[in-house]
Amino acid sequence: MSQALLILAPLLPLLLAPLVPLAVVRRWHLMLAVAALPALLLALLAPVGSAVALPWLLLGVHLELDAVGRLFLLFSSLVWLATGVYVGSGRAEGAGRAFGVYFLLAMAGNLLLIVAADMMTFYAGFALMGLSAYGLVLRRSQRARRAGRVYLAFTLAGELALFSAMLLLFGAGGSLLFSDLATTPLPDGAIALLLLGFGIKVALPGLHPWLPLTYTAAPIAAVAVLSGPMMKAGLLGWLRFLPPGVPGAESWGPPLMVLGGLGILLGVVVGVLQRDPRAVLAYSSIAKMGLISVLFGAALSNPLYADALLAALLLFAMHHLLVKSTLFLGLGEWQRRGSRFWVLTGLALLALSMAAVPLSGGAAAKEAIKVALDGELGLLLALSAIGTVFLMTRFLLLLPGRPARSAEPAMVPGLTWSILVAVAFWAPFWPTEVPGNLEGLGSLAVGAGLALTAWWIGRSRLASVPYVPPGDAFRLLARLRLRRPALEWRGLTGPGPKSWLSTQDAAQRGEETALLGSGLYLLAVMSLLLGALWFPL
Amino acid sequence: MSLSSLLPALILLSSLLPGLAIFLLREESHRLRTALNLFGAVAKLLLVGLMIWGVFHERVFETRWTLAPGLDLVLHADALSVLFVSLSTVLWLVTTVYAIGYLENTPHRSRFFGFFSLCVTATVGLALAGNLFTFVIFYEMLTLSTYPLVAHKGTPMAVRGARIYLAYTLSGGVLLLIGAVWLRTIAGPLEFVEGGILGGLEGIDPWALRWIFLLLIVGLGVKAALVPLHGWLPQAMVAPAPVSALLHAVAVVKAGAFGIVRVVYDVYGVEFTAALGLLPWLGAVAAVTIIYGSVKALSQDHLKKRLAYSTVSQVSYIALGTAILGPLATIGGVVHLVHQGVMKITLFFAAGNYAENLGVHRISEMDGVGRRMPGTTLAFTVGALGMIGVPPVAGFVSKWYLGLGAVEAGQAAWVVPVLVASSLLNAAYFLPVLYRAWFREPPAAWPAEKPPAGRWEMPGALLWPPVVTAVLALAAGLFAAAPYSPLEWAQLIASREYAS
Amino acid sequence: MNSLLIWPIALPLLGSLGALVWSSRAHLIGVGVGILTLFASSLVALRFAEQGGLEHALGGWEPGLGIALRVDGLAAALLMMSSLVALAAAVYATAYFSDPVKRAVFWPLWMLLVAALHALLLAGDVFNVYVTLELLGLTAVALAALGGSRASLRAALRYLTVGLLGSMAFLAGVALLYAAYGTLDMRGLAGLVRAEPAAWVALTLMTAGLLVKAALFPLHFWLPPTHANAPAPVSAALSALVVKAAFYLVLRLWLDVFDGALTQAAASLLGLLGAAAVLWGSWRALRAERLKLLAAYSTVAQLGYLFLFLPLLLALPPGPGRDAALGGLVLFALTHGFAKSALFLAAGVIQQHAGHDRIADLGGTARALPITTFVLALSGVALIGLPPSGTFLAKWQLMSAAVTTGQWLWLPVVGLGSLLAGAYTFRVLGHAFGPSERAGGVLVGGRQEIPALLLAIVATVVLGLGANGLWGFLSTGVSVTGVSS
Repeated sequence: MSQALLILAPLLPLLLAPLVPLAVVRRWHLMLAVAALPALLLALLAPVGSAVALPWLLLGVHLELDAVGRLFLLFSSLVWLATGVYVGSGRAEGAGRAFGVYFLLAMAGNLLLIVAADMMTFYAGFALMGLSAYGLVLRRSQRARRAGRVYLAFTLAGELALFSAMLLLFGAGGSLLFSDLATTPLPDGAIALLLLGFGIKVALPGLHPWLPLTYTAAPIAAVAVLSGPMMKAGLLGWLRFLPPGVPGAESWGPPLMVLGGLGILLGVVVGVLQRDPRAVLAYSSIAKMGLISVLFGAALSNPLYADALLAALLLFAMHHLLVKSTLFLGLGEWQRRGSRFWVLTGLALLALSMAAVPLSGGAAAKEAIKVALDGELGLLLALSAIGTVFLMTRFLLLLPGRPARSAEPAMVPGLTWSILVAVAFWAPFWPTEVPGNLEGLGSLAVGAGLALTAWWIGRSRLASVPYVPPGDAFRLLARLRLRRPALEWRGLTGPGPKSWLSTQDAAQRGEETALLGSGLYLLAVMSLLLGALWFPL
Repeated sequence: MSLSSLLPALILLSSLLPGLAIFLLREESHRLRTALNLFGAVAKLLLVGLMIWGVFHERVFETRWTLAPGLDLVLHADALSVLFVSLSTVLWLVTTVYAIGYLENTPHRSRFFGFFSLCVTATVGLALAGNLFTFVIFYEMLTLSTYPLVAHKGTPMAVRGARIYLAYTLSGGVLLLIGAVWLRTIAGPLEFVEGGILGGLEGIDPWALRWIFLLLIVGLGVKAALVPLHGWLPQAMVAPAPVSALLHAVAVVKAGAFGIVRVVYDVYGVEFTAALGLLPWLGAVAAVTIIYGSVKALSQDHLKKRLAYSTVSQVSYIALGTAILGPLATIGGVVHLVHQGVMKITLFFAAGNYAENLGVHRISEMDGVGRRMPGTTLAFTVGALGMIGVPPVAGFVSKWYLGLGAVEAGQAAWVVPVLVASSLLNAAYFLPVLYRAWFREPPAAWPAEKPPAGRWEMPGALLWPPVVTAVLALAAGLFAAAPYSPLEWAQLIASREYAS
Repeated sequence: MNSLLIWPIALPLLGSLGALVWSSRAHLIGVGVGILTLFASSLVALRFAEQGGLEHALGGWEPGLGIALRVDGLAAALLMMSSLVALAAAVYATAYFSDPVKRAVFWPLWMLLVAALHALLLAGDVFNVYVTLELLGLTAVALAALGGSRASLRAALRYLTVGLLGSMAFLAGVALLYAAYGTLDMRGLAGLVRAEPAAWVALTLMTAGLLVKAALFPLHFWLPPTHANAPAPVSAALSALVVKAAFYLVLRLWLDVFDGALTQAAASLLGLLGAAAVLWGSWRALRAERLKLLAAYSTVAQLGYLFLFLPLLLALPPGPGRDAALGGLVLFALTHGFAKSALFLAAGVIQQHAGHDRIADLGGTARALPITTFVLALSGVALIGLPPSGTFLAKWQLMSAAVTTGQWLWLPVVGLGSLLAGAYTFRVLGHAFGPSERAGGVLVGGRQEIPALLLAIVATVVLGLGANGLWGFLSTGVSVTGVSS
């Protein structure tokens, strides 16, 4: 039974996907909602340790449900379910049948990589998820197209880094199974590539530009799943490929922690300067993932404490997964219906949970981290906490004034969302533990105070508030007008094809500049990093 | 005259005889011509199936005919030849169906299908060749039989393209011939033996062997479109779509690559080639070709030309696999023979469909074509994703094994970046096409649209071949670890090559 | 004593007389005698295959005083080829000539040519060779002049003049030989000739004379106009047979008679001239504007290949290597004979259909005559040396011998020659593809197309696939050319 569920969880959305575009299928939006159910059931019902092997598929497919996987599966499938309901109901913007296809495909990929027990299956799911998400991001606006291209370039780079890492890992260990990976000494190159590849997904600073661009341009439902399950897939990748206590990875911990710290800084500082609530949430994600990276780095460099650190990390990550996605869904509800009271309340609750208000899941997660870190990095934690509050306040302040799209009352998504809010507020601790710590109130107060002060100042001198467009560094780079070399070459048989600049129309050219530019940018960053790591100074 | 000595010859005859018969048919006898075509293709398929079964059970099939003292025409079935023959046969059947549909109501069809059959005969002949002499014979016959196919349309551009094609391939053929004669003269009869024979021979000057290797590889490299010998390939795009499909996926380009595999593995022996210091050069040329082909593909707006440069790039994966010492790399190179064939033919079929149905030849005209022709575009998507290396389409299996082989041989430092760069470039020139096809609005009117035939977007003979080959490409990757997959066959070949 | 040897000579001779007398039925006599001659040649070849070298002294007079006829493998093979080609051309010719005067003149001359040719092939002594060579030349000139136009007359006259020059040289050499050694019998001479000035001078004179007749570069200038302006069957015979006969004589003299007096340098000189012929002839063929001119220059080139074999044969020690090379040489000569005659006959068909043979305007005609175009393609394949033609195997042997003897220069020459041949062949064939309007023209019958087709098939398929027996055939018997040391 659990084996069947293991197979069905990723398989059902995959099978449903081709059915969606068919005109004969009327209730396709139902499929979107239903597709994540096997996964949810699997997470809730199946015993940890259920496994199934299909050696004849691909290069040998092994599926397994372990403790970590169960957590990921539970929360991810919740989000997919809720988003599915949201999309399936009514006129979510940009949601036609095409969107549904990509939605299901991305879901399938996500679920597959969660239950994957070997590298190849993980990679297959990761690739499927990443590429299908492109279809989710796309809308009929120049901004969305551009964001899509940047996203694709970064995703491809990440996938290829992962592919290269897998080659090295297989070469070192001879096995594709994750269980065999724990005892294999990992080559440095592989570790670097893994950190890079998944770092893109997790939006480490330097690898992050795609995230704000995408989150501000894509449809809400897409952003909901992007910010929740799909981003955490990157984290899962780290956890799977660099299991705690793996030999050879200790020296990589500190650099990762530094990057994580930078991420927190970047997320907070740039986030508060945003004018779009989505952008604020995006940078908040960057900050949060920065913290997670710090924790993971700490786990890498201190294998003895790895278990505790990872436990805290997981709880924090799951909490963030749920809350962030629900925030975005809430934003969607807001856009649909305007400033209804219950929407505002829900959003405020979520923001508070994120800000670690006492009695919320967020606070409990923060507590767990503090315990795990055992007093270290207190300043960083405090910064992170204050920063989060700042960001959340900014977010809430940006909300009024957003016009509503339509006022139609769709009951089901609203109800679903509300339930989700409740869950998100307390998860992942409810119903086992009710966090009752009041210590976080201090940072809450400080942060809120700062935010409100800033708002009041800014209101009167709006023009002088600096504005950083989402995409920050990348945008600046693109402004440098990257020029590609004209590829002219007189072949043996006469004049070769003209410079490809002239054979394509200007719009295409512009878009491809974006693609190539991001690719070059990424390659530069990655090679610099790799070089710096390869040749220790 | 037992079955084992007749079977290879019969396989050849199963396309030669119908081909000769078709030449004599009048232009108007459609049904007879179609019947002959399909009969030949199916007969060949059955015979090849018989051969596969036999080779799997260690039976020996060999046809031998002496042409001159010391020069025997030998047709021999070993694992590698069976792989190539099966690929050719299956794809020939599919292409025949496609060509019948594509060339409907065009002139000179008897001439076309006659030479078409001769082309397949030559391909099968060189697949089954048991020594270098026989290989050279069928290699030249392939040139001769494909020339009229390239020139088929008869326009000045077609004749010109065919002439360029001929100039390149005849020159390559001459070099190959000189190399083969030289080798035969100093080393004796050159029967293909798994593991190579030259390594075991005493008293041969290694520098002579190195020069011969150069001659052979250059001669083969013309057809295999190694840079800088690839110039004919984009020019040959003037041929009708079935010809392009066949040329790129099965016949000409593959013949060159197959020849390189044969020379390195079954004549020289891969360890001996490494000992002579020749593998790095081959690898360098392959790597340059891989990158160059992809870079050139970026700048093409004509769909078939973009696919042509993509072929230049992708076929060199096979050469790359050959150039890395180790069974894993061999598996990657050999299995890519099959995978690239199936994926590329899908792409060319799709390109042909766009041109035929909508008059779309350029990528800039392909906006929204996915809505109008979803089946074809879906097949195209599968092929394109495979080229990029996205699982589960077959292409990623080849790349995986090539990468593994590089790691195993300690060459990962330069091979993996080449693979990665190639995948990125492939994405850069395929994804925009997919984007246009699926995500853009169709234009108000297509350049030369034909009304939809019945329920489907195209006549069946044109729609089903790409769909079938796309499914095959998907299956080859999805079930790569299953028994009887191309991957398993490649593993068998590699194990036999390294066993000695 | 083998009186069988007389018939290949006697039959055409009688036929010539008969055609002179019954000029209205001349063509029937011509074809009938051709068939009978073929039959006789086949018998000779079969008898040779069983018994080895055959000999016959005419009138019972022993060699020294009388005329001896001899045949060995080389001669038998060439005899078969010439009979086949002559028959095919004869069949073609029955439909070619429309002018009754020309027809009446053609057949006697034709059969006289065939008789002279066969006599030359079977001749056993040097003086006989001279006589037959003269006869061959004169009949060839007469036939060439049948073209009728100013150009053909001029060319024929030049052929005559140049040929006479060559014959003079040859005769001088013959006289010198007789003066030095006292005998003209080839087998006798073979034992007597040593490396001394007399032999060298004789060899030089005779070879020079033969080189003129064989049109080796740079003595080739007379050939293209002659062959291009002669009537089609005559061109076929000239290119395929007549010049081949001159080469046959060179081979015979060098490998049999003067065997003891040769030096590698001399052979290499001929080889170099041959290489130049290959390159120059192919280049000129590529530039030719008329199909028959192209074919004529192609003959110049292909004969060059034959001369390339000479330095190789000399450098190889007796044994399987040399036998293989010699077999290659013979195969090349045979294949070229069939292929070139097919090409000329096809050109004739085209000329009759379209009224001209300009290559640039060939398009419609090529499409209207699929069989003839096919013949062009097949003979082109044989001329380039692609499989499955016999030339491919021959070139393989040539190159193999070059590698074995270390004479590397010939390899690029052969390669380049093949490429140029490919260029000029496909230049012509390229016109066969084009927009499909059919040009009107004179109707052409099967009698004209089929002989060419059969010749081409022999060249490209039969000799390519079934030539293995040739080597065995050549080495049957005792007195094999070239093996005697």
